[in-house]
Amino acid sequence: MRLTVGSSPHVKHNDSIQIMMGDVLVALIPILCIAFYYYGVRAAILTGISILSCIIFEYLYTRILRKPRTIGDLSAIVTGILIACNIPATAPLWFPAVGAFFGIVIVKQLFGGIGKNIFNPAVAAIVFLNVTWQGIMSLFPLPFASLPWPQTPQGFTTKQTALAALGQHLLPTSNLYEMLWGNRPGFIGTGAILVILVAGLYLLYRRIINWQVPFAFVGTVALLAYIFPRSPAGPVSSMLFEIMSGSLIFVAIFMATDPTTSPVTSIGRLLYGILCGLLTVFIRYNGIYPEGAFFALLLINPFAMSLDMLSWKLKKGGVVNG
Amino acid sequence: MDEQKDKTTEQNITIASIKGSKFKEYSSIFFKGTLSSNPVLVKGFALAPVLFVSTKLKDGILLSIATFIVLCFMSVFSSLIYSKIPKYLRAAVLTLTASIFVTGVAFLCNQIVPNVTTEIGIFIPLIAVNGIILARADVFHSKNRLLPSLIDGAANGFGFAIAIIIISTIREIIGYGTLYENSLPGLTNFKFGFINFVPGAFLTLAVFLAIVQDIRQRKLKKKREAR
Repeated sequence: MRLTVGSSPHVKHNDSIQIMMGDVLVALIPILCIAFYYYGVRAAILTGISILSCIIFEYLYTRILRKPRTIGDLSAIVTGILIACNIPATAPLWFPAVGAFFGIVIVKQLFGGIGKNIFNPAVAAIVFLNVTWQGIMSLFPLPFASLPWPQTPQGFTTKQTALAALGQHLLPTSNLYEMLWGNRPGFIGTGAILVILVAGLYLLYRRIINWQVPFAFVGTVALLAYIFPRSPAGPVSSMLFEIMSGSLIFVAIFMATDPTTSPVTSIGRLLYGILCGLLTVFIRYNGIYPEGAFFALLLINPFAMSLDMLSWKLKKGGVVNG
Repeated sequence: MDEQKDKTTEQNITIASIKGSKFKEYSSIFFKGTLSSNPVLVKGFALAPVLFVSTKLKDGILLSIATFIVLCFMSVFSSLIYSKIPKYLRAAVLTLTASIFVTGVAFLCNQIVPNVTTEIGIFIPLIAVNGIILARADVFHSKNRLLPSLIDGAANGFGFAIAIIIISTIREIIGYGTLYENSLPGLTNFKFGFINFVPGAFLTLAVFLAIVQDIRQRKLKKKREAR
């Protein structure tokens, strides 16, 4: 008898996707609140534009090509928030809309819509923005800077980020305790490590995400940072700075655990996280971009199914059905 | 499958040509090679040069001219000799002969437009292993006389040129805001770097393949309904 297991997510009950995405939205709300607290009205407006353009593009695509409407499953809203969390607050207002177009239309809908995309739309959109407008994506304002919101802010004060300092083998100037609360120059929503961790625990309790992928992802980065320290203050400080800088934790908890593009078996999940971590460290150490987590995740995304096959093979001792 | 169909239809054309008028046959060969079975947009040959050399119109034009010349020469050569070569030597002989022509063409390009030639780099020598040459030699040139083969080679070179010129025009306008290295009015500061990278090339090509497939499917549907 052949057991054919399709790609995830598997439907357990009728409103599964909607309930899942609703839970992710609940977990994202505190992160957005702290982002608005740090970066003010401009962050809120960027987030709003991102969400709205995601919904509009999804609606237009399904309307023009006469596909079933999929706005009700809330996945477009989650994608919008994830894109908005990973851009700096000084980005121009059209910036998240372009990312939303790339993520929703090209990466998600052209591959067949939710459940059939081989790349995570939010990650692909952020990588697209990073590659195309690297200048905008690498200038970070300080928290509590008063930013004008209809026009693009210029001449704001900025500080070297921890990742940029580590890239030049300098000790980052940021305080580790302040980094825990997100009080450092960075993206809109990826700074507040503690809040993100609490949100991750909530999602873990609701069984929306699994522990294997984030644990293996962050653990691999930590281990490699400990073995090959970039910070002059020694391996422990290097490890802490590598984990807490950039948007590693946010990517590991909210994006790497996307049910469509991550494996379903536990061995596969661990391998997936380990590969992501390895590539992240490799790109951070040798690449031209300071943050490697998105790139690593995007590169590993299409291997989710193969990792599942591999883990079945390891379990069964060589015979794979399906 | 497609290849097989192609073979049979092309043999039919040659049989018909003995009976029918020459001009009609030759124009149908030319039309087929350029548009209805375009080597790049329909059959998917030679995608690598189309993807990598299409960032600027100048590069695209030079590469398409070089490919056109080599294809014309090779079609004549393979219509004369191809069927007399033993089977296991065909690919090798064809590639070596193509490389002779390519050497000449590359030398000429280097003399006339050295800057653009260095920009294209390896892709002018790589015309020698272009998929169009081998495929057309196997399917068409070896079974036809000299003039139809020459027309088919020229048509395929022309089809390749059409594809690469369309794609490189669009990529240059979007990526650099220029056309043939002249700045366009209203696009002086416009630059969308993503399209100059490899993923941008793939996306542009995918859009064109989708458009061409759509047109083909509609035509096929019309034909079926007409029957």
